[in-house]
Amino acid sequence: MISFEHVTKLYGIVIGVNDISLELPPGAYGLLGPNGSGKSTLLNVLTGQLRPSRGEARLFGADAFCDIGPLERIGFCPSLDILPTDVTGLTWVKYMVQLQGYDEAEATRRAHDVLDRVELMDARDRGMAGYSRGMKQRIKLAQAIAHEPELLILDEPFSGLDPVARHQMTELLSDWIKEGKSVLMASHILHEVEAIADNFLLIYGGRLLASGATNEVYEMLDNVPRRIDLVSDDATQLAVLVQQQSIVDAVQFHEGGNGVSVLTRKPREVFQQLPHWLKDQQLSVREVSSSDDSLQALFETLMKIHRGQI
Amino acid sequence: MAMHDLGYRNWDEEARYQKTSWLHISRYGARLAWKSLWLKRLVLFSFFPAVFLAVFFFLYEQVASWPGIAEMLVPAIASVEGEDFIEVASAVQLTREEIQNPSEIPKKILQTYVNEKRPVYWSQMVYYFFARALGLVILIFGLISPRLISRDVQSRAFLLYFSRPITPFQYVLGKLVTIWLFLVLVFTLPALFSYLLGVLVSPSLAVLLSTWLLPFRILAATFLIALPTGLLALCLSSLVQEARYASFAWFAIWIVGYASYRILLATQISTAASTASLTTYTFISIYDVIHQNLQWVFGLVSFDTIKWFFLELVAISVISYLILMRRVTAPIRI
Amino acid sequence: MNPSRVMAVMAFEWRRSIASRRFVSWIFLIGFPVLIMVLTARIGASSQAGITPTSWALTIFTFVPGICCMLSLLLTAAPFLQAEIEGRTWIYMAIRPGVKTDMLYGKYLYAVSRTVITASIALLLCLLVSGQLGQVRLVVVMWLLIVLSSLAYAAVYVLIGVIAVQRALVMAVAYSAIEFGVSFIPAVVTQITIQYRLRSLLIQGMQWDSKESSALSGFMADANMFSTQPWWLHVGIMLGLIAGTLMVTTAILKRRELGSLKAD
Repeated sequence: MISFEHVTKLYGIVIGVNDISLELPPGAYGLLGPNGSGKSTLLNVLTGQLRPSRGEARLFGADAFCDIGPLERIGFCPSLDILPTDVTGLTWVKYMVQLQGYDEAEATRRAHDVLDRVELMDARDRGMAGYSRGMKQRIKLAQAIAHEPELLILDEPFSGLDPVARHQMTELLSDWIKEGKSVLMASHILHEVEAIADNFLLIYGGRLLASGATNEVYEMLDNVPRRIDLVSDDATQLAVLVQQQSIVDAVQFHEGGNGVSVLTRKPREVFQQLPHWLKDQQLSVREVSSSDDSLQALFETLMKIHRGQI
Repeated sequence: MAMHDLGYRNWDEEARYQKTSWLHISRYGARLAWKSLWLKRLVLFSFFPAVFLAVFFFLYEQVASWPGIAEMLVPAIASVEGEDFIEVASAVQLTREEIQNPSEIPKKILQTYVNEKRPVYWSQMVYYFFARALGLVILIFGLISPRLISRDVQSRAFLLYFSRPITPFQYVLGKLVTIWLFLVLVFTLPALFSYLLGVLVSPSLAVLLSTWLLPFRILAATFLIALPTGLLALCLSSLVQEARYASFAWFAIWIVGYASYRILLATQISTAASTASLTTYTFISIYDVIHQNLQWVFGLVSFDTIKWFFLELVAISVISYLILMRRVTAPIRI
Repeated sequence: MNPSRVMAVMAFEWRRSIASRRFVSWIFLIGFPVLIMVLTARIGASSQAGITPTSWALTIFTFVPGICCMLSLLLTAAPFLQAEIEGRTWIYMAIRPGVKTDMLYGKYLYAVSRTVITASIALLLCLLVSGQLGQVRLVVVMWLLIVLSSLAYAAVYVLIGVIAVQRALVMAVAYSAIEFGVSFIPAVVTQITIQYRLRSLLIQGMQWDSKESSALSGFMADANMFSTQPWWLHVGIMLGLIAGTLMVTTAILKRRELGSLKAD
């Protein structure tokens, strides 16, 4: 479905995307990366908006920059929420469907269907200037799926949404995937992507750091030292206890002496065995946390692997 | 005490704001505008007329000293200027050596004429420079100004401006100075530079005595162009969210005015319409109204001749300012 | 090119142009030529000689197929791409198959049709004010010139719009000013301007000779200022240039990378 072969995109001397190679069969993928990591550039190259400085990008076997064929099979939902203000939602979605190649009658039917699907039928005849953020995201999704594409590409679809709207968007996208269609979703928020896709592409500084299923990514991190914080009134005894365990690499006291930080390459085993250690020694722990369970920490760790620091 | 139990606390400090906030707005705006390659090209191009101006000053000052030129020019000027020239020539005081060596007399007469008429000719040439360069100013303003306020409105950046201690007047002044910086770059600096060159290539520093007013006239001309055109440009930018409409309105006003005036003037001349003055329809063209005012600034006509055109520029400035301030304060007016 | 998509783009742009704010531009574009006609009539009324039909025709030619058409196209044709990029809606177009070309032609047709309608209304009102409505030849010639002027300048402006996307309007104004100036240079260069062709068609269409007016006689004395070639040759050359310009525009648009362009 998607193929990148040593794709590099340069903006003058600035690297947008750096030597990315990957092959993606149909499925649901999350493109994860912090702001400025190259996600949008990658999507622009994939959809033919930008020509790669080097390498080749193929969508459904064709170069989208030169060949319009692939564009008939995709729907794109961009990150910007700026929409024409002087037309209604229905008019605009219908127009987008017409641009996809459908005649007016068919475009009208599809527009109604998709607005019903994204729950915007009540607002279809209202000017888009009066739409809320959530409505704008849904209308953008509507224009992307109205023509039933095989692949849906979304750039930050949850941006600016309240919790209710996020839930609605998640349900919509989950239903979409259940229909057997493919999704490529770009985001910088891990749990948003986890809710939709179970395959990740991790991009940072224009480089593809890692790709694979969720468990594969976390397994990769299994051998990377992670920090677990334990808050306890028996910090000294706790330190002595954990330091004796073979699966613990290092122990550090918290400032203030109210706990310890444990460095380990086997965090799962530590979590599993910790209750037994504490019970044996009659020690108590008030708080257990791991600050590494975040996208930023994930990326920092992967960057360290890339640089050979770990 | 619970976090939300603080109660409303009145602000009892003195509201302070920096009086130079507008300068930061200008610098930011100028920096953004300067990124445009076309603007840089236009600014570079604008220095070429100044070179011609400097060449004129040089030729004007050196003409009397070239051998053989005086004998040709004196009769020619006499036939063109008539009484004016004869009056200047009659006042020339000749020394004994000059009377004994009559071949030097035309040179002395020409030099005297050059000295007498210096303020007039220099002013005229600077006026022509400003008049020709006005088209460039319209183009440059059309490049920079449409985005200045419309972009802030579209991106909601004005909310960021007015959530800081910046008054609407400072905001407007900052935007105006952004445009004026480029006007000075394209107009004032080349003209002043040419004047300085003209002084330096003159036979003596005595030219300063007869032309000292010219730099001030240049500054006055800059202000005369800057205020109404700058306010008009910003007024148009404040009325729309998409800059291309402001751009269109800006150019439409100049193009329609310019063409309409000329067509009406041609019609007046061709029909020999006797009841109307040839300047009746000048008011339609802001371009020509500015030209009339520039003639006054450079001492070529009296204020009485152009007072209605001056009032027109004042009216444009006032109306544009009022609309602009109303638009700028709109988001913060309750 | 997909004709139904082209029509969809044109219809969408028409629907947007009927929004209330955009009426201001309609009123201005129709109103200013009429106002100038009123002032011209006033001048004529205050003179003994009055205004000749030739002078009326030249004035109408300057303002209606000339300035009115150019201003309308400055608003609709030159920023055809800039409008999408400034409005952040370009990505929705670009992601659809073949829409770049269809959008170009759809917006071109919209610009031409809107300009023709605007200028036609302005022409009708100008003819009413000037009392020339009964001059059938004048009406037909002016209307044909409106159509040709709209087609030609729209083609040039969309080419400018695709080359200088962010500064389309300013570049189009600069081009128009230069072309207008060049068209009055009595040299070979004037023959490549649109104004030269339109002028020649006007003089031939109205069947004027040099006796019409002294100004016209001076003008017509110079072979470089207008042409006596058959009208169909002028029209053919213009249509050929229009087609060529549109083809070049299409080729440039297909090859341009617009994904990295941001409205500033």
